[in-house]
This record gives sequence, C-alpha cells and structure tokens, in this order.
Amino acid sequence: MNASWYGESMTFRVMLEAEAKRRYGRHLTVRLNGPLPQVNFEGSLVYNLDALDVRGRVMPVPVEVTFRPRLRAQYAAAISAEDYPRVVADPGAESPHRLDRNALCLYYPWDPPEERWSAPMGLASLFDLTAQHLFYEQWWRENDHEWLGREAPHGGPTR
Amino acid sequence: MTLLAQPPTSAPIPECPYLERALIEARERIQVKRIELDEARSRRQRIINALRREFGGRCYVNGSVAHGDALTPLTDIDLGVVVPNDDGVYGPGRRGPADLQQRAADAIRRELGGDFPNLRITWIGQRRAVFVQFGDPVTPGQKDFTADVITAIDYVGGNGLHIPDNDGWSRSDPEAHTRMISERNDATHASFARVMRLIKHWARRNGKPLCSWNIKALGLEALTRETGMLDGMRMWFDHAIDSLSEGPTDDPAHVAGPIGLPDGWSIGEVVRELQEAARKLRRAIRFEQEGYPALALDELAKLFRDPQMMPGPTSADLQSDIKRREANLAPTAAILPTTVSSNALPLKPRSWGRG
Repeated sequence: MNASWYGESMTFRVMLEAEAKRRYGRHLTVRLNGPLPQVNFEGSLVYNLDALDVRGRVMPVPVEVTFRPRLRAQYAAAISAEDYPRVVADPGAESPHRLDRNALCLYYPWDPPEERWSAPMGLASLFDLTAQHLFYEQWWRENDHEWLGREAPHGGPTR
Repeated sequence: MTLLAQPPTSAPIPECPYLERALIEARERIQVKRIELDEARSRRQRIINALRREFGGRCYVNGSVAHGDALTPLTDIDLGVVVPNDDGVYGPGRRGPADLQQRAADAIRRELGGDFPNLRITWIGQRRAVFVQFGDPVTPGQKDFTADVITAIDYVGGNGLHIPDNDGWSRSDPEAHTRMISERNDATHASFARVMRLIKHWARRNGKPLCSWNIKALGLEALTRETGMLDGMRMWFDHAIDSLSEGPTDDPAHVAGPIGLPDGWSIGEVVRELQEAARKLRRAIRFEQEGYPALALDELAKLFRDPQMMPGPTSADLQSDIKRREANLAPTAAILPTTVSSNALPLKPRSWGRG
C-alpha cells in the first residue's frame, strides 16, 4: 500500500498525542509500522503507555493502543478507523466488556459521536477512559458482576 | 538506626493523620535493619583499618550508612582515605591516583581476603573508586555487598579534596557533605533522614530519575526544620520542582560542579516525574482532608508503586469511599473517584462486547 493514511499524518498525530505526551512524558512511546503487502498488512500506529494509574491498584498498568488504516466492514459503516483504535490492557483478564479477552470495549461504535471517544479528543482522554474501564472491570470481578458504567447490548446492530 | 525508627516527638501535628501513619509504617518497612547495619559497619571498619595501616592520614565515611538514611536491602557502603601528600607528588598536573588505588586495593585484599574467599577488588576502568565486591551479601537474598573506596588527597588551595577522576583528579568535599547531613539530621530531630528515605524509595521505584546524593542535596535546601513525613515530602517535591526547573542542583559544599542526572534522563523528564509525584501527593492530601481516607491511601500507594512497602486500601474501604464520594460529588468535580486523572471525563460511553 503506497497511499498514505491518517497514521502517517503529522497533523493527525500532533492533535492526537499533544496532551498525552505532556502528561505521560517518557512513559508514552509510539511507533509507526509500515505496510507489509506480502502478508496483507496495511500498517499501524501503535502507542505504548507503560504506566497507567488505575484506581484501586498500586502498580501502574501497561496499555497498548493500535490504530489501523481501516476497520473491518462490520464497523467501518458505523465509525471511522481513527476513532476506533484497539486498546489492550491486562490481557486475558476476565471481563464482560472485551473482544477476544484482550481488547477493551470502551464504547459502542454504533452510538452517536457525542457518546463515544473520537480522535480529536486526544489520546490522554482515551487513557482516562481506559483507566475507568479497568477500574470497572476490577469492581465487576470483586462485586458480584456489578458494572458501574453504562452498558450497550452485546453484539452490533449488523449481527 | 534504632534512633531514627522512632516517630517524631515534637513535629507539628499532621493535618492528615491517616496518611502520616501510613508513611511512618511504610518507612519502617524500608529502613535498614539493625543486623544489616552492624555487619556493614563492621566491614567498613575493617577497610578503614587497612587503609590507615597502609597510608596513615585520615579516613572519612559517606553515603547512606554514614548519612543515616540507608534502606533495606543494604547493598553498599562508601568511604575514603585522605592520603598524606605533604611533598605534593600527587595532584592535577602531577601524578595521578593509579598507584594509590593499587595500594588501597592490595591493602584491602590483605585485610579481608582470608574471611571473604570470593572477594574481588577492581579499580582499573572505574572513574573514581576502588570497587570492592565482598562476594557475600549483607542482606540475605541479595546478589552481593560492595564498597566504593576513594583514595583522595587534600586540596591545598581551599576547601575539600581532590578525588580520582579517571587518570586525573577533580574536586569534591565528601567530608563536608557528611557533616552537613549529620548536622541537618540533628537540627530536624532526624526527620530529614526519615523523609530522605521515603524520597529515595520513591526514586528507586520510579526509574531513578535522581541519584541519592541529588535527592539529599535538594533536601538540604528544602528541609530546615523538624517535620512530619507528609509535610516533609510535600516540601521536598515542591522545592525539587522549582529548583530543577531552573537547572541542575549545586554542590551543597560549593566545591564540585552541579550534580549530574542519571544516564538517560533529561532535566525536563525529571521535572515531569516530580510534578506527577507531587500531583499524587496533593490528591492524597485532598482526599484525606475531604474525609476519604481509602481514596487518599490509594493515591499515596501509587506514588511509591511498592505494595510491600505501602499496600493500597482494602477493596471494601475503597468502594465505601467511592460510593460516598460519588453521592457527594457535584457533576463537575475536578477529581472523579473512579479515575486517577485530574481531568473529568468528557463523556460517559456505553461499554459493550461482541456478544
């Protein structure tokens, strides 16, 4: 894939990263992976935060956020790829709101934009959402599966 | 170090008694154990004996054991000998420290080699010290116990010493440093050493943005009276942020140059780490003052990132505080109890799953 995508745009990245870089400094690293056409990989923009503080946990939690050039068709009709990164933390932890036990389902892609995260809000606010989600997960595990936040029905409207 | 284990007797009554108690208990968990200290001092004395026999002159001690702020596990000691140099053979532009270091290494080996069969002493390739590896840890479970031994000469033109700097010499005043720390410990009824222990442990658990000596040099500027632990930490962080924002820390003895930062750290990164720690401390204080001790402890424990040293609150206590605070919160409150960031979340999304 030779055409550039949003992850290669410095304008996009500055908008996305600015506050998070100020807040997390050296704890936040980024890498831009180029495409690998031979394995049908279109590239990715990956942020690693090694120290997200989560309420109720003494030790910080590593988080990985991956942006891809495009989403699967199931989601692409509902939400832009830059507004729906894959967020992984505490891989394998039991939770009612995850995809494949690793990626956090932070918000419902089919909700209206004002009810979900989008790239202009910045990476820092995505980490805030992630911290809250991880706290909710821990609470859910320790409190008879009570989920403190709002919940959407599982599965998307396209299913 | 029994003396330093006692809580302050005449410090001001803390405004946050719950956090203050947590800090006192945490400090007791990390401070060096009597048995470690006795063994370290015994080994140090044997090195001093060897150096005195070899060189005459005077010996000095510095580092955490001498300064009263050692942590467990105890892994090293620092000392030096000031070699008589009346004929001026050694010094800048004259002979370097190599043969003194060789003699020190040989003398220490003669003194200790019989009792420490795995003893290793190296000075070639070291910037300043003769490096002694005992091959026998003071704290069980540790890899080893080491000593940094400096072979110094008096600086004739003023205060301080010339200490080895690779093949040459540079100026420092380790004797003044130990004297200043000791006087400050006395003046603050040991609260200086107690706060330094906590700050050193914070640094150890947060990527070591500052060396121990830099922490103490900033402490000499910041902590001039007896304080509680929380107050002392707050004063240290606030001062360190202001001071390092203006540049590296000056040598308190005004003999050596500014104190360098650890490899891989820029001053901006260090200041950011300090600011983040100060924010956690302020949030902890605010939570306790608002009547949420479990939320306060959760913040303070995050500062140290060491559940053995400072465990977080129990889940039940934390949940109780969160529910009470949520019930009392205005919608625009600056700190949401369910997040750690000081930013209010801009949205309340619906979590979901693939089903």
